[in-house]
Parts: sequence; structure tokens; C-alpha cells
Amino acid sequence: MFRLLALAALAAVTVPFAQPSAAQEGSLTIAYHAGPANEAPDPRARQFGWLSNQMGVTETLMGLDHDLQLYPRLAESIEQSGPTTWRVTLRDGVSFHDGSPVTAQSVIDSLTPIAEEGHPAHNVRLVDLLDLAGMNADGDRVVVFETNSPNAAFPWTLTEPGVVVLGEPSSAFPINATGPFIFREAVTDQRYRVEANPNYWGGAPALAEAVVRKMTDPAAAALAFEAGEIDLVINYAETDYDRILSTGAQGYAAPTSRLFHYALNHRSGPLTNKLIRRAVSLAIDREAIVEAALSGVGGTPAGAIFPQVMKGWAADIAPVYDPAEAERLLAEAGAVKESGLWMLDGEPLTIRIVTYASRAALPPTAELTQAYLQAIGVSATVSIGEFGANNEAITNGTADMHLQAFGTAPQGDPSYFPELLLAGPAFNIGGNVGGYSNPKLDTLLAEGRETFDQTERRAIYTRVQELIAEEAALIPVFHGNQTSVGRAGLSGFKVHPAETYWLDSEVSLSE
Amino acid sequence: MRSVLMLTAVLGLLAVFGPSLAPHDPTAIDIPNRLAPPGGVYPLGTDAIGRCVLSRLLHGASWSLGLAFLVSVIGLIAGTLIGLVAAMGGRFVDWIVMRATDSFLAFPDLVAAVVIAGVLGAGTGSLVFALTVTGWMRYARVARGIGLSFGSRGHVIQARLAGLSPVAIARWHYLPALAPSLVVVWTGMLARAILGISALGFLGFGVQPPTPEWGTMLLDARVHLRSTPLLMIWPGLAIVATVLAINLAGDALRDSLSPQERSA
Repeated sequence: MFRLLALAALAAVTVPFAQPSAAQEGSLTIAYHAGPANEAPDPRARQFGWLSNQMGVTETLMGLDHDLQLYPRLAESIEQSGPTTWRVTLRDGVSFHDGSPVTAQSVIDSLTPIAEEGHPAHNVRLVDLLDLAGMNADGDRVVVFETNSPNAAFPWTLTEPGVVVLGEPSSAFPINATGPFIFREAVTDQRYRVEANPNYWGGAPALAEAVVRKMTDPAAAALAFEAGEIDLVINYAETDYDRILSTGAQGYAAPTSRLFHYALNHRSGPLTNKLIRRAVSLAIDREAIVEAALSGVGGTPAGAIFPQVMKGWAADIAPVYDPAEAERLLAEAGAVKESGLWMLDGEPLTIRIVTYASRAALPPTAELTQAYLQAIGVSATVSIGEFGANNEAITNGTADMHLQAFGTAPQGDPSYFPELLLAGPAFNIGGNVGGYSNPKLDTLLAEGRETFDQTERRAIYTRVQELIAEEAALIPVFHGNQTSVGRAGLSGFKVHPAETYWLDSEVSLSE
Repeated sequence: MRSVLMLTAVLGLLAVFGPSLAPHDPTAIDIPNRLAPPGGVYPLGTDAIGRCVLSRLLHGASWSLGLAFLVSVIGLIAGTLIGLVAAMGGRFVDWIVMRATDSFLAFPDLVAAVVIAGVLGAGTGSLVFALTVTGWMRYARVARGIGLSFGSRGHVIQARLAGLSPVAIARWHYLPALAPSLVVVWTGMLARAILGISALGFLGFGVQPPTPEWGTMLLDARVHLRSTPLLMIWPGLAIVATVLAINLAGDALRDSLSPQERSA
């Protein structure tokens, strides 16, 4: 039971030695569909850590490489010394942006507020993921974490951008972190600016400055890129990808763990019936959607929730398009076809679809789904709104399906996504807006957390995926690639499958 | 004058009969022929999911012009009634009603419509409500202005002394005098309503998919602006031509109803 997860050797291989400072040059402007929520967003709160992690401001104890494998980041090693005990040894010689040293106590001070109700860093989702009983410092460089129950996902949770090591904030360093870039300013919902940290422990960055500009409209981002206002567009419109590359721009298209899927209303409406959910899933031609909405570069049809990029975790569940079987299931569910329309309880069977427009592929995907449902005689409406309002519509029963794009493994571990979106109240993470409830799934997810043997764990999450597919607890549509576009002269940028990493010391921009 | 009215009449006929002229179902998808150029089976090409652009434009005419007609007529009725109440209700009522009208006028109408539609949520009902709430004030101002000058005229005073109800006085004495000016205002507001519907549609607050409407066609086409610009040009041209024709028709109508302005 007592397993050692010593990763020190890996650290020695993967972590660059500190480089002598070189002159930083160039200012990189990035367009992204999200922006800072306030003038100094606390990385531990909500999902604010994504932007600071992506921009190289904050760092986590553990990291994810481009194969979604764990590596020690601010940690030098991690060791499981008991079923619920983890010893994390910190890297030596790391300083916060204000020059103060990173110690075991500063790690504890940074993570403690996550569980403190009323603190700006309080984050229920992270409290559940970490499931901490306590933290202790063993000297200056070792933090001992004690979890409430055995948690195989714990080292992976230490890669979560919200589980971040911060020093005391000050007016000069409102986000006092350790990364290659120093946070300088944020304008709510507009921009987030960072400058190079010449004293970065992993080597000074090549860039002098980087700015993220929030641009929710993919078309506006594309025009700004062509006008020379933007150097890098994250999530460029797939339908314009080939054309923009022909202008000399650099393309970065690679698979990610993002799943475009329908979250469903399980509390009320027709989709409370499993047969109707499965029928809807079978009526969707995912191949055609990938071709039309993504121009063939944006993703692959999804049958399972996890993509192939999550090596070893993706179940072998092929997407099925079978309108005849869909109609058979509708009949089995008690629906009656009259004049080409399926009727349920005397009313036309109508599915209300909601989605949002900040990702270019979503509206056409929703419209195509609507067309496929209508093709088998199911009425469907599409409404383009906003992500939060759409979730509320699912919760309060005014919508049946919410088409959305969601990262299935921002920490690289398979436990996160099903626990967040489909687990029962015992998990308390708060993302199950549709009210799905299945004790079998909850049991499997609990087993997945407590199982340390990787072979057994893979079997559990395969069963989780099979159960979700059998139940059509949510309807996967496609696994999304990230299609980003950079101008000539940009180098060192790579699409990360977790989408939580953009900038590091290597990214540079030449005229 | 004649050619402008003919053009407007053609647009009106398109709004009514356009859908029956469409060569295809405007919501039918044809993935293998997505983004097809004009010609052959699809005279104006297809959109991103293979729907016939011409069919969508023709069906869209019904929605864009029909909704604009609805919005402008509701505004006409509401604004005229409010203006008449102000004109006939005495100084205190006039002051209250016109200050309220000024308050509505103080907000830029499109911005206010976006806020209202945003709060109510996207949809045709929200769109009509938002544009109606922000589109009645000009009628009220015109009705009130002309109505005030009418109140002291002999035949109106006589009608009042004869015991005619205010409704009857408004019906038989005020409305006939207001009609020419209100019709001219209405043509201008009809053109504004088309622009408003298209603008709200473009911003995502209007008619929802897959219903074809010119503004939402523009919205859907914007990510193809550089690769397939015709997708934006067709609905853009339709909006420009329609609004221009209606504005010109309004000018011609004003000239014919107020010859003194033309001679001036």
C-alpha cells in the first residue's frame, strides 16, 4: 500500500538549470476569449488561476508536461509516506517575485486560505479536490500533506492552477508568485499584463512583456490579428484557419483534453428519460459536425468523455450515428410519431438547446444538432446566450441541453471531470448543474480516488466512461483541438493539451 | 417618386411572397456543398453548414420586414395615443407625459434596446418588446405637437362644448390632421426598425437559429468575412437596399403630403 512516488530523478532530467540572465525583448499581445475578473485576481479563487498560470506568473508544486505526465515543478520530489500522507520536498533556491524565499511555511500559508470561508481565496472546488486534513512544515523545504482519505489524484491536484504557491502580496507585487513573469496590471474584463522576471529560477525569459486582451468574438480576434494588433490568437476560428496560414501566419493546432459536449437537464423535461437521451445522442452525426463546424482541423468525433491525448485513460467507445435506432428508442420511450413529428404525452417532443458564441464552433454545432434532431422528427430550438446564464437555464429547467466546451483534465487526472459535472452531493464540487444522480457512478468515482494501482484505476475510469455513455449522462460531441495562430517571428509557443500553459522562458518574439 | 414607390412595393411583395419563391428549404443543410460559390443549384451559394443563401435571404425578408412592420406599427399606435393624452389632458398631464417621453429619448435607442433584450434574454419576443419600448417617442412628440396647436381651434372647442367624448374628439378631429405627418414619421421609423432588428440580430439578441433573418445571417457569416466575404455581402446589401428604399419613399411621401416643404 505504501507506495513511493519519488520523482526527484525525473526532476533532475526535466527541470532546466538556471540560466544567466539575458536581455529580454519584445512585447507579445495575446487575444483570448476570457479576461481578468478584477484588478488583481487571486489565482486561488474560482478559475482565476488559469490566466496567471497560462501567463507564467504563478507556479504549482507539480506540473504537467506536453504528454500530460506529472513532473515536479516547484517541488523537487513528492513521496507518499502513508495511505493519506504525502511529503513534498521543495526546490532549493526559489524566490518569490519580491525576492523573499519560498519555504515550506510559505506554501502552507498560501494554501490554507483556500479552505477559509470568507477569505477571497476560498474555493470549494479546490477544497474538495485536495480533501486536506492538515499541512505541516518539516524544516524549511518539506511540506507534509495529510488528506482525509486515500486520494490517488492528490499529486495531480497539485498541478491545478488554483493550488498555487504565493507569497505575501504588496502594492508592488499584488500577485507575488514565482513564475518567469511578474504580474503588473489587470483591467477587469479587458487586459492582463506581465513583465519578465529576470531572476527566475529556471532561467530568465526571452520576452520582456506580454499582454492578454480579452476578445470574445472570434471574428474580431481574427481581424485584429490581420491588422497587426495581436501577435497570438488562442482558439482561432477553425473555419478561417487554412486561409490565415496561407498569409504566412504560424498555425498551432494540436489535440487537447477539451470536450465539446451537451450537459443535460436531468431534473425535468424529456431528457430525464434515459432512452430519449440515448436517442438524441444517436441522432447526432458527429463526423459531419467536425467537418462543417471545425473545418476538419478543430477536433475528432467523441464517443467517450476522455480523448486519446489522455494516454491510457480514454475508453474505446466509438461515436455512433444511427437515426433509425434513435427513432426506435423514442418509440420505446413511449413517444408516438404523428405527421412526421414525435409526440410525448400528447405534446410535440421538443428539445431546448442553449450555447454561447465565444468559441466559433459552438453555434454551428448547435444548429447542426438541431437539424439532425428535426431530421428524425424531434423539434428543437437553439438559443445563443452566455455560459453562466445557460447553466442557470439548465438548473431551473428552462433549457434541456447546454452545448459547451470543457477541459476534461486540466490536472491530467481522470477524476476531475466526472466528479465535477456528474457526481452526487457527497463530492460537493458544485458543477453538476443538471442534477444527474447515479449511486453506481458515485461509487466508482470514490473507488477511483482511493485506488493507487494504475491498472486497477484505469479499469475503474474505463467503467466510468462506459457508464456515462450507457446512461447518456452527458452527450459528447467532439474532442477539441486548440487551433491557435501566431505571427511570424513567434517561437517557443506550443499548444498544451491541458490548455493551462502558454508562456515560459522559451517563448520569444522577433521582428 | 414613382420608381421609389415601386421599389418599396417590390420589397413589400418580397416580404409577403419571398418564401414561396425560395428554391430550397432555408434550414436544409447540405454539408458536402458547404460554402459553395454562387451558381448552379444554389444561385447565391451556401453558408457554413450548406444552407441555400438565396432561400435564407428570401425567408429572411419576411422576418426582417415583417418584424420591422410590427415594431413600427405598435410604436405608431402607442406613441400616437401617448401624444394625444399629453395634448388633450391639460398642462399637468402634458408635463408628466412629456418629461417621461424626454427620459426615454435621453437614452440612445439602440443601446437601450440592447440592454432590454439582454435582460429579457435572446428571442423574437424580447426583440420586438425592446424595439417597441425604445421606438414610440417620436410619434408621441409629433402627435402632441400637432395636437396642442389643434386644441384651441374653433371646431375642436365646438365639439367639446357639444359634449363629444375625448375619444370621439380624438378620433374625428385630431387623427385626420395627424395622419399625414405620422405616416412620414412611420416610414423613417420603419427603416430604423429594420436596422434595429438587424443590429440586435447581429449582436445575438434577435431571432434565434435556424430562423433566417438578415442580421443573424450577418452574425453567422462574420467568421467567414475574409475567406467567403459574399456570405456577409448578400444580407448586407439586402439591408442597405431596403433601408434606402424606405427612406427615399418616406422623403417622397413627405414631399407629396407637404408641398410647401418641397417648394421651400
